[in-house]
Amino acid sequence: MSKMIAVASTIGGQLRHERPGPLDLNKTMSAGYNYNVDTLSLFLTAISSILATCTPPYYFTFDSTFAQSQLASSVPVLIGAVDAKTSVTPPS
Amino acid sequence: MVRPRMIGLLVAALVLASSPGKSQDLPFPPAQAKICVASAGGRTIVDKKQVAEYLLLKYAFNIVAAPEPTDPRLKNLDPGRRVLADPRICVDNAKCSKSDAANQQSARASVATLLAGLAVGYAPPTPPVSPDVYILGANEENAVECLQTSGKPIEAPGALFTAPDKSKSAFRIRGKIDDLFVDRAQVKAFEATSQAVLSIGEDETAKKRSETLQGVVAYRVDTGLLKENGQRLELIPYVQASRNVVKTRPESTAKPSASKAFNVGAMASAFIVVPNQSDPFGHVVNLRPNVLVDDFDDSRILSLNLQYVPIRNAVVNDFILFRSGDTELFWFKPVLDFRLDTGHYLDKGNGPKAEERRNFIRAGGQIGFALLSDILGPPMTLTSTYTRLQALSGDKDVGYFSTGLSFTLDPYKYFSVLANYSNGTRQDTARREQLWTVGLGVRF
Repeated sequence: MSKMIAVASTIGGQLRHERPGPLDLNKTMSAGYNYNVDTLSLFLTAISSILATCTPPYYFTFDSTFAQSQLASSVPVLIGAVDAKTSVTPPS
Repeated sequence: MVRPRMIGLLVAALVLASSPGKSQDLPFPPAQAKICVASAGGRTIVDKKQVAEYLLLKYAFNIVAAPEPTDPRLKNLDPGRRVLADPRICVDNAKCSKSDAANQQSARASVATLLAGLAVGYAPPTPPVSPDVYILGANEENAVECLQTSGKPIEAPGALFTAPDKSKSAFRIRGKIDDLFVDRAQVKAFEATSQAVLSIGEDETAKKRSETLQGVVAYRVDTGLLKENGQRLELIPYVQASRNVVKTRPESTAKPSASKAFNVGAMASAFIVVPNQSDPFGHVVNLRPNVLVDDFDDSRILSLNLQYVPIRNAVVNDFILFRSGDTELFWFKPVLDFRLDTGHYLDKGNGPKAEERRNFIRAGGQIGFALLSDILGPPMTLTSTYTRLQALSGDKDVGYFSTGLSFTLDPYKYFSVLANYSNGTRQDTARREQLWTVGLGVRF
């Protein structure tokens, strides 16, 4: 599975886990899915943990600035941003 | 001589990005009629050229920045698909701006949502393929099927949402000190925070006039520490004023009263994350030295207040969505925190009970809920909390019930009309109060 598809599947799965119901890709993480910077950080921490268990494993790290910047993101924009920070090699 | 391919790229640049960097607010996926076509096999499938052009309207990309492709498979692609199919288009490319790179990534991620089966109304290919492999092939290759029911397309939800206010101001205005750690960008959590209130009431029957001013002004300072995994440590100095005055006319039977208190302090707020696969835990710890100046009895209290807020997504201190079919009914947030207050009287003040006042240690917490709904029209917020602190030393327990209903008046939730009721012994002054407030609320 390609890295971006793995990221998309993981984010979609976690969203369904935390916000059950049909996915609306246009919803933003804050106004639409009602995450704040703390709960979005927990969401992203879960994404990081799950990606690390994929085969092959993917490595996604982030900080509070990234979490803050993604509050206004829709689902595809978030997927793109997480994919850009995800690598196939462990962070040094 | 200008080559035909260059002319094609220039025309495409005009068509796809007539205002480079200006993306259009379009839903994704769009109505199936915009990106779906009938295939030779009798199915309705996504047309790759149309979806690429649509996505580059939504996420503008200055196609002039695209270099001549070296990969022969990219050379014969139309310009829209060429942008989506090349993940390295912006690598070491000075013509590619930061927004071009981000928009290309978002457009490719949108294709990924179709391929990962996240978009309602679309069936992904099996097995899933990467966006580049998908875009490179013909429509029938790894086709994404547009689903129908009873001959009609299944359309994905397409509402667009107002982005939160992008104001970077570090000032905050709230009703209660406890809400200072919630940021404006956290739209729903912000909507559920307390509001500063100014209320003036004239009661002609009781011949009295009531004035209420209650609010806290603060300034957030990010320490830059603890940033990994979204963790944070910030300092928030604040000043809170609380003033309730009842004035009576000579013929009134009501009793005049006046209560004025000021709190000055600083909150150190830390957010700590403990990873746990798909259910990580969050811990907010707020430590707050505070000086209370109570003009009611001229007392002064120096206190140290500790608050612990556990967070688990969709369980506690986070919103849970309740829906009926596809209709969102309301968002419900269970509220829970734990508190430890220690207080030392700098001045016991005056009045008959002044000498009885003793330094205190109180432990307890707060339970309650916030309920948010848009189904009535203007966004409605109902909050209800009960704060209970038991005196471990000193003599006064705290028990304070507070409930409020508000309707916000603007898209950023700054202003609202509200009705609040509170009853009990206040946490800061340890004095009993029973208060109805109807007025204009503001938070920032």
